Amino acid sequence: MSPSAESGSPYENITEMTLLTPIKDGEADELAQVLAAVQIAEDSPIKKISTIHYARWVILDEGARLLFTSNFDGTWEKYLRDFSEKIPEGLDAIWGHCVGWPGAQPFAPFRKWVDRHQVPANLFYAAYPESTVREVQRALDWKEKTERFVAELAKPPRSS
Amino acid sequence: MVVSVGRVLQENLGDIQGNLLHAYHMPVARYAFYRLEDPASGRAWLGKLSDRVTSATRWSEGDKPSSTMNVALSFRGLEALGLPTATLASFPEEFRLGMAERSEILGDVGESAPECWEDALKGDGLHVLVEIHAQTTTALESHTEWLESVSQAAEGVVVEYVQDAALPKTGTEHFGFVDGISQPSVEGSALPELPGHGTPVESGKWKPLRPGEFILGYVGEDGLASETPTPAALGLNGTFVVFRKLHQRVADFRQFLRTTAQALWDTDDPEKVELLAAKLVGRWRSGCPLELSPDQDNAAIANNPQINNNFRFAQDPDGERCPIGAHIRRANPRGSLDATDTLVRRHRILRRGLPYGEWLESESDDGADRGLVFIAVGSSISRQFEFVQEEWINKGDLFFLDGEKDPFVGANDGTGKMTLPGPSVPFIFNLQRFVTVRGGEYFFMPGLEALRKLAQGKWSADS
Repeated sequence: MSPSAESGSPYENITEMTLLTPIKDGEADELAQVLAAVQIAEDSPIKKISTIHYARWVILDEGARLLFTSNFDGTWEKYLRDFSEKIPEGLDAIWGHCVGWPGAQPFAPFRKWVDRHQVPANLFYAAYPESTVREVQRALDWKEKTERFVAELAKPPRSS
Repeated sequence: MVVSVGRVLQENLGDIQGNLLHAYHMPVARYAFYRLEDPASGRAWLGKLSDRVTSATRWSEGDKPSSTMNVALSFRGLEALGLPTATLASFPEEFRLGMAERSEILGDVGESAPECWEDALKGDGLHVLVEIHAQTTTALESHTEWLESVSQAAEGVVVEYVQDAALPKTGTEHFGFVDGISQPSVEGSALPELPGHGTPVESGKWKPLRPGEFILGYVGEDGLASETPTPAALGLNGTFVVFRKLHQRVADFRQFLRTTAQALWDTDDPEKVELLAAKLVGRWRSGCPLELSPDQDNAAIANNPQINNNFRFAQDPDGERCPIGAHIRRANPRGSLDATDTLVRRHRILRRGLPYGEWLESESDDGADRGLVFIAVGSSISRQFEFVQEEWINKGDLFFLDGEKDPFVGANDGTGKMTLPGPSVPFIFNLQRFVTVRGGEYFFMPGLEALRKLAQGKWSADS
């Protein structure tokens, strides 16, 4: 465990996070059900945080521990604050099944708990470390708009 | 540390310093900065000042004083008063570091970097900020005389810097805009509720922000009491105050408007110049918002406080009326980011600044220093002022405007771009930095009782 794990990211704009937390005895099945429900939910709380590139939760060691890994834009502090303030119920529903969970609010004990359970990455690679989620989404939007525009250009002039 | 939830702000106005929750609306001000060389004499001096500090108690009709005084301390100032290490360490990190150390976050780079600040503003000597606001320059001078006599009589209390401020004759800031229209309204502050000042709620209504966003020890928008330093009594009824001296390049700004109008529309007609200026800011110079009047200025809207701030950006998602990158839309997105990004109501600031310097009459630069004494008030400098400055002013990512900065006050470098959605002109190019930082610091403005106890050395290590 890292004593004060800010982030092991070698990149300026993207941060990685790995959390490994012990699951309360006998609660792994219930946790698995919660995660499955979040996966299929239309209004999944994850969608409320626009800075997340990827996030995954994995139940390990026959239900003994929960692994969480995520890549996100911006700094650790701001990312955690968004989590704590925007989707506290979602966090409580998941990590409430883990030992010692202080609750997503208030922020200070939550932050301390995350700090304690964070595992620093030995190696972190990002293919496009300069591009945020928003930039990727915008580029894809421009690609689509450009293709529509090009398709129009390729047509012969309409006779008037 | 968290203190009792449910404190009622209105009952404590007499212990909260003035000009925080309610603006004084006085036309002249003086910001004097002092260095304390000795804890005991510094405390004695502070004790003399504390008797004359103005509170937030509302004035009745005809009761407005001719001058006011308020006192705040930087982290170096709290050190200089002899507070013990544990107390000092209980203050938030950004406050302990001070503004100069936060330059990367704030976008204070290039000409705005702390190395380029005025000498007196970049040292560690800004211990105590004493603000005097006054109705007239005569009242300002007479209050200053008193302050000077008290300070000269004190041992080791040294004036480091003095900045005067006064509303220019135009009644606007130096770029010519009516400023300070939009301010968050605060629950229990005893101010009339104006539409558009709080946080947007359903059915077109607005809700004032909870007091913990702006005063320590009260419940904030997260439903929790805002954190105070320890001991809690030191923080209670206090708050943080950001001081920045912002130099404005008025001639450059005017020139840019003309050149750019010429490039965009092949004319520098005043009509087009004004439209361009309004697009950068999101309001016409009168204060009339583009959301309510996108094609021409409207004095009737501008002058009506029931209307001039009553709009939301949800009505204009593409920014065809008010560009998404316009200054007022970045600085206060009005709930438009709540669904996917961040709760806007957690990142609001009270602005209490005043312009400094003379109005520029000539076309070309006269070399004089003019700009804005920018003051931001909030219970968390990092979550409020710094967040707004970093994420909304100098980044565009949350708005899908990557690579763009605020066109008006952002850290542009001559190659800045602004997207103008709509059918006619898609982009403005070559944006430069119109505002440079000349210096600044973070201050803690204690409640009156806490100020008196600080002065008595109640919490000091050496007394």
